[in-house]
Amino acid sequence: MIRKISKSNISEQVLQQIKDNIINNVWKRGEKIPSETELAESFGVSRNTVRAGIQCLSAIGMLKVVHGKGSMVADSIYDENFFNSIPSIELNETEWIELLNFRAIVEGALVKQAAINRNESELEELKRCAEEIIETCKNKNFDVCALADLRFHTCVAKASRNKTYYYLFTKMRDIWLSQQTMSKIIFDDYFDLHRQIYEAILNRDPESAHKYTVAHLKYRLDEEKQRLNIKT
Amino acid sequence: MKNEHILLELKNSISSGKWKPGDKIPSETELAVTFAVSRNTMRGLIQRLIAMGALIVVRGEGTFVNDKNVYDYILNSFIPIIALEDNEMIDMMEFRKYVVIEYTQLVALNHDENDLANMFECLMLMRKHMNDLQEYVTAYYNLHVCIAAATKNILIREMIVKMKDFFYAEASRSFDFLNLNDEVEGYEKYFAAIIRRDYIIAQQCIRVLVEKNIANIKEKVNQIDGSNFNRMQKL
Repeated sequence: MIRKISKSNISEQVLQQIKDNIINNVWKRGEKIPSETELAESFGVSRNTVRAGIQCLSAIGMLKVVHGKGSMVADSIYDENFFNSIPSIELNETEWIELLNFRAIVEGALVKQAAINRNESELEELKRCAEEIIETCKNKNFDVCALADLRFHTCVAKASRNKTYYYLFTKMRDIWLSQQTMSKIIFDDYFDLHRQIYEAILNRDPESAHKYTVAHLKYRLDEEKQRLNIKT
Repeated sequence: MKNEHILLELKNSISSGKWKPGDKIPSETELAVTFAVSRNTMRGLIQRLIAMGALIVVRGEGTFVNDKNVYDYILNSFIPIIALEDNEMIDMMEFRKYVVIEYTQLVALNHDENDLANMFECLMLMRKHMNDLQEYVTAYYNLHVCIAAATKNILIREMIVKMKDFFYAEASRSFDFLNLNDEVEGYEKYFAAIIRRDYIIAQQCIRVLVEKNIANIKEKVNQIDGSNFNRMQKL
C-alpha cells in the first residue's frame, strides 16, 4: 500500500498516496489512519511533510484530525467540511455569465424535484423569504434582500431532496453572495418571480416552478449584461 | 484574531484582487508577523488555502495565487474524491439524470457538425466494444463528455469531465445487469433525435437510459442490504 517516495515533488506524492489509500478504501470511512510517525517512516520522509499532507486533506474534509487521537477518514461525504466552501474569487464577465447559465440549467432541473418533494416547513420558509425579498426591495435594503434571496434558493435546494445538488449549491454560496449585484435598478417582475416560484412549489407544479426559476435567472443575466454595458 | 478570521482575511486578499492570480504572496514569516500568530499557525492556514485550490506552491520559489481555469476551481471539490457508497452513488446518478434531461434541450438546439461527428464516433466505439467492458465504458464516458460539450456551456462540460471516476464506478456497479445492446440502441435513438433537433424525444430517450442504470444499482443494493437507504433520509 505504501511505496517509497522519490526525491522530486515529495509533498505532492505523499498527499497523492494518502488520497489513493482513502479513495481505494484501503483506509475505510471513520477509521483511523496510521500515525504521522508511522507514515513518515513508511514513506521515508520527514514528519513535517506528512503533517502538511494531512492538514491539506483535513482542510477539504477527507480526513478529520482529532486532537490527541490521530486522523480519521471522513465518515460521510455529506460532512459539513467535506465540500469546503471555496474562497470567493473574482470572476470576469464571461465567466460570470457562463456561471449564471450553468445555474439556470441545474437549478431549473432541480426545482422540479423541489415542487414534488417539498414539506410544510420548507414551504413556510420559502414564503417568508419571498415576502422578505419584496419588502426589503421596496425599502431599497439590497444587502438584506440578497441574503433573503440566497436563503430562498438554498431552501429550494434542500427541498429537492437531492444531496448532491444541495451541496453543490451551498458550496457555491460564497460566489452567489459575492456576485449578488442586486443592482439598484428595480425590476418589479423580478421580485414577483420569487412569489411565483413559491406558488408553483406550493401547488406541486413542476413545470411552472421550472419556468419561473429560469425566468428569474435570465433576469439576473440580463441585469448583469446591462451592468457590464453601463461600465464599458 | 481567531484563525477563522485570519483565513477570511487571506481569502479576501484573493477575492478583492489585492493578490492577483499568478502573484506571489508574502512569506509565511511575514504573514505570521502581520497577523501576530505563530509560524506554525500561519502554515496551517496557508495549507488550507492550498487544499482548496486557491494557492499553489512552487518548490523553491514560494506560494502563489492559483491562476488555473476558474471553472476547474469552482467544480474541483464538488465531485467527492472518496469511495462512494451505493446510496451516495444513486443520489449522484439522480442528480445527473435531472440535469442531463434539462440540458438535452440545449444539446438539441446548440450542437454543431463537430459535436455530431464526435458523438457518432463514440457511439461506433460503444457498439464495437460491447464485449470489452473497459473499452466500452471509456467510449460511454466520452460520449457523455461530447453531449455535455454540445450544450456550449463550459461548466456543464467540465462537470461531466470531472465525474470521470464516477462514471467508471457507476459502470462497474451497474453494467453487469445490463443488456449493452439495448443501451447502445437507446443512445442511437437519442443521437437521431438530437440530429433532428427534436429535444422532446431526446429527453425521453435519455430519461429511460439513466433510469435503467439507477434501477440496476438499486436492485443490486436491495439484494445486498435493504437497510442502507435509511442513511439517505437524514438531510
